[in-house]
Amino acid sequence: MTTMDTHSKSSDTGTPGWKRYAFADHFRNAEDEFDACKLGFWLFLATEILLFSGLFCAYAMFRLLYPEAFAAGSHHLDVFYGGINTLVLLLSSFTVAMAIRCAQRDNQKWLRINLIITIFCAFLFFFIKIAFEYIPKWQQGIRPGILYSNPFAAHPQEPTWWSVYYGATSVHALHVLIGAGLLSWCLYRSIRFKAYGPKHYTMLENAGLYWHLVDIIWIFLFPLLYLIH
Amino acid sequence: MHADTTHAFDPNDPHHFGDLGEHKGHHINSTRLLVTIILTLVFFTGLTIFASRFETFLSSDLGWHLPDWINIVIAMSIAVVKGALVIMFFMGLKHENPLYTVILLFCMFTFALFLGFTGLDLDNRGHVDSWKQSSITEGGIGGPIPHPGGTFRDKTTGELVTIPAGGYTGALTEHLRTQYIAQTGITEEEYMRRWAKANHVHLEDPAHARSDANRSVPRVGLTGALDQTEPTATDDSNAPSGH
Repeated sequence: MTTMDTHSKSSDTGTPGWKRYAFADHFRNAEDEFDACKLGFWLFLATEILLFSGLFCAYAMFRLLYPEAFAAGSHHLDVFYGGINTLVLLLSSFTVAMAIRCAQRDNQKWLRINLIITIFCAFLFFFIKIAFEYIPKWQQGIRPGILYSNPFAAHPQEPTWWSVYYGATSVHALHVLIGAGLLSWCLYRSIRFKAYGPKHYTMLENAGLYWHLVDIIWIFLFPLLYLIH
Repeated sequence: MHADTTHAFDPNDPHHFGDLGEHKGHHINSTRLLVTIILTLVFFTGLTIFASRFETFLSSDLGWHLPDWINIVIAMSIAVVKGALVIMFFMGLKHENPLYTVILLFCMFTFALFLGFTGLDLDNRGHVDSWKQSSITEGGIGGPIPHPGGTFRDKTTGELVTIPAGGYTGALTEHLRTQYIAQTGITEEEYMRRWAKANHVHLEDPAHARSDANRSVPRVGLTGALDQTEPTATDDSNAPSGH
């Protein structure tokens, strides 16, 4: 019988979860299981990249068609908030990489501290996005597509720009929330079971990969949305 | 691991794949490397903002207008370097199975296909081969979607203004402009003053006059919706006789 035993009463015995973990029957060894999980996760990341590719493609085509509309719309975005959010996501990418390093070296305390910082950064990003960007814009009638109600458009196609802006950033923000959820789950399992250590940290590794992807998407969205003219 | 010389039969590994030595243990990044990477990423973030600001400075203060493509090429070059750093070191692709790199390159290739084929389509909307001309019929929905109406806070006066729901002809933005003037009862001059305030421009500066989209590439065959303008299917440059 080879199962992850972390949910049974024996978790109270004090043996860390990562030590009690045994790989599944159908794998030759723990390494093979790790590699298979990771390959599967990279394939999933590929579908995520293709999802965002569609959004970047829409951006490219509409910008080719209406460069002034994009320049005029981008003018309403505040580079300050975009820049702060970029730094927040970069920092969180760093801390998640550090968390994995801590798991590899069985540093349980700093593993948790790094995860907590990462999750805090995720919610900080989301808060800045909603409170300082989405809500003020929406209140001014700067809304996507046909919902656009602002009478001061600088270009007939400005609503198209806002569609691209809201579309790309909201899908990205959704990924930020999902990533925060995954990492919170990792944090819970780390606190409850000491689930991640040198011999087993597959879930943490994959949650980290997801988080880095979210960071990379923003690395491209930030200059495309905030720094054009 | 070295080759097993005993050749004992292992039912879990009958072909001795486990002896091939493919597992060398996981790579552990040093703290120093990770700190170097994050600092480099922060530096490049500052650089890309600076490059954008510097370009604005050159054009607005010195009057040096760089070609349009420089902005996007600089921004994307820096973003690619930043993305590569995250992928190689934070995601560990540098020390990983090359198969993951292949997956990533496949994504890049597919993205290029998305861009390429969408661009081809967009660039040939107005292209009509003469031998097909007789079978062409007009497409599109033929009219804009009615505006659902909306209440917004006027940035220039701080008041709430409601645009009633309704259909319109022409561009949505022009509809909103006329509705706003009708709702607030202001003059055209007052509207332009508020427009300039909302867009942070000075009306006296001719370079900042209200854009009329003349710089946009004229296209044909686009489905009218938000910007309903007269169909331009008879655009000379794409006329069937031109081919």
